[in-house]
Amino acid sequence: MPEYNSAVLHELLDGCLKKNRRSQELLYKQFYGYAMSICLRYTRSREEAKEILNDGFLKVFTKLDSFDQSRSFKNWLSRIMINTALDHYRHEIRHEVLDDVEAADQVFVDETVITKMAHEEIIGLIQELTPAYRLVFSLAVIDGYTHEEIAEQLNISVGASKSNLSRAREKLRMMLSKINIDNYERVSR
Amino acid sequence: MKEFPDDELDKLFRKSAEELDSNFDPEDWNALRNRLDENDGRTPAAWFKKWWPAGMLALLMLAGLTTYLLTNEEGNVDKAVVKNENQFPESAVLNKKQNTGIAEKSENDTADTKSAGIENDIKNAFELRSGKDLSTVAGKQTDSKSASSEERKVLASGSKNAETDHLNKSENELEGISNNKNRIAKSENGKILPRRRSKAGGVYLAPNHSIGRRGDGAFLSDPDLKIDGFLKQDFKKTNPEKLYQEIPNLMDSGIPKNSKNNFPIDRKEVENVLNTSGTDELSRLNISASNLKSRSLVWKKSNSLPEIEVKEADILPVSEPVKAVGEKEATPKFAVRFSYSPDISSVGLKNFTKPGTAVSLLVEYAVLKKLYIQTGVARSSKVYKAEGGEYEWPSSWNDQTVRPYSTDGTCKVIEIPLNLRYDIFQGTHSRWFAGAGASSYYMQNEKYDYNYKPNATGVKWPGWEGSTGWYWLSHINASAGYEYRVSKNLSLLAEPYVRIPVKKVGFGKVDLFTTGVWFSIRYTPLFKK
Repeated sequence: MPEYNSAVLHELLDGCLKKNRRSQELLYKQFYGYAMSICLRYTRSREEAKEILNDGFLKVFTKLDSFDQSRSFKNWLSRIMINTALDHYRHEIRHEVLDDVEAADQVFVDETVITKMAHEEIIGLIQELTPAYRLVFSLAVIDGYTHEEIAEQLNISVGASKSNLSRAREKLRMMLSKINIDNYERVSR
Repeated sequence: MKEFPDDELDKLFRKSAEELDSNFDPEDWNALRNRLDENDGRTPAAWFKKWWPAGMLALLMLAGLTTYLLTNEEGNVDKAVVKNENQFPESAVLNKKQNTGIAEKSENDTADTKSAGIENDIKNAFELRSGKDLSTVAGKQTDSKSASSEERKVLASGSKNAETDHLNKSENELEGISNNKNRIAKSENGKILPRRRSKAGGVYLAPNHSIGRRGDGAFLSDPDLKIDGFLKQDFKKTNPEKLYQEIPNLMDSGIPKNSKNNFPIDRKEVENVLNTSGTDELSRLNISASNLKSRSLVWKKSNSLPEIEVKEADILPVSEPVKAVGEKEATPKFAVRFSYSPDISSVGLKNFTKPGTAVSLLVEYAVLKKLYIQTGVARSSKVYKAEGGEYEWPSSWNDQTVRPYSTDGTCKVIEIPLNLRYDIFQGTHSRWFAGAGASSYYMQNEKYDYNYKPNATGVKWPGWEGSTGWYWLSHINASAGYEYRVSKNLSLLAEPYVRIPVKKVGFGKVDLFTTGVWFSIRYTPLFKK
């Protein structure tokens, strides 16, 4: 999606500042896909993602006066969505026990299978991770947070953050490998 | 098949995250819009949640205002009673004696006034009494006036009566009667009493008597000759301003007894007075309380007689103006009402959105004692939402096959109601009523936004704006309410109402249901025949 920092966006944002429902609806529609893709990789399901999405947009509409319009709206929106997801995690899932990742010596993945996978399926793999792994993986790999920042956000140690990231990667490799095996078995039948 | 390194894995997921674009779901927006409405106070529940403190405050203010007005009316009644008492000065004084402490003080001051013979001093004293409200001052002034008029009568009947009265008062004070205590207490509070002022004719403060116990020196020995003679001599030499300044200081500092050094009047001046006024004056100044005591017993009994005797002939000239013959208040037939209401409109009693506003100006005419016919004009701003099926699509737009799933409508409506109102219960200040009737709508400034599914194609009509005019007798009205009379002419009303559609209105031909609560101020002009 192209950066929407145009006159149209400014017009929409002005309308939103005046609490104009039409402007709010148009802004919501415009950034729905982008915001949803963020929410999906921080949540377990689409329903949960929708909840965070609307929580995030509610913050956007109510705190829009604090947004500096000379900056990128997408970055601001992204930060709001991530923070909302982290808030959600802190409130709902903080006591969840982390899974142990089974030791796997070597995991082999067929690239041809991966290229055939839709983006939804790949993001779906992230959703299958435990919350702690999912959050660390998304924050570190996709959204570019450092381990120090992640440790601060999730109230864990830097070592735990690194460990979680490593385990998350292992888990994802295993899932991709499993997809490979399934596909191989399906084809060989 | 190959091993999947970290950077490859990260790249894969990063790319998917960037390229994933979820399709818009209108239901998600609807859910958010409801939350936004709630957040912005645009739903009835949120509106009430947001505004109930203000409403409560307004009600409290209203109650306070009403209480104030009612209390004020009672105050006016009291004042009227005081006025009437002016017409009966003696009875007024007697009544006051029986009632409050303030009245007692007033009565005491009345005695002072008699002895001093100057009304202005009383007025000045009242003005100097800080911390009293104006009505009290007014009441006291009234009493003073009554006392003054009494004094005139008493003086007219002979100066002896006045002297007697004064003697009696002086004697009471010497004997330490409660009135005297009150006065001392008053003195200790630093309040200036009229008789302490040297300019009060006929009053002289003897140098060898206590100011604190005051009254001892205030003796009218010979009102015709000696006082005048003394005052002329005395006030030529004594600086009255100095006396005024020093007396309150003395009162504040305590009550000196028989101490010349502590006496506020300049000692030299007093000695001058004593030297120049001669033996007669000296003996007059040295009149002791015991002399008064022996005399007062004789006069005490006869004292009350002139106070009670009041001739009715004296009262009539000062009575209140009587209403002209044949002049009477007509029963009010007409009333005018100005009202405000939140306007909560919906199509099909669901999907209530934010309330609009409505104002109205109504005229009422009493066709029977309890039955009013009511008409006027109301202007309202209606905001509503209609589902796709509830909104009639214009046939001229049939070339557009896709239809909106919902419509957001806002419109300004001019309404002409014609109602009957019946008073169910009527109290002294309030009444309960119910009303019913019909309303005609004039739809103006209609604005509709059509909401389509995101994947809708061939949309030609995103909305419509215009005016569709009159819809005669399109709604049935029903209401019930409470009216509270705050004065003869004004009353306040709260009246919940409904407008039930019997005809479809607007461009989309919708059944527009409206409810709200009229908050009204009602004016009833009282015409004289």
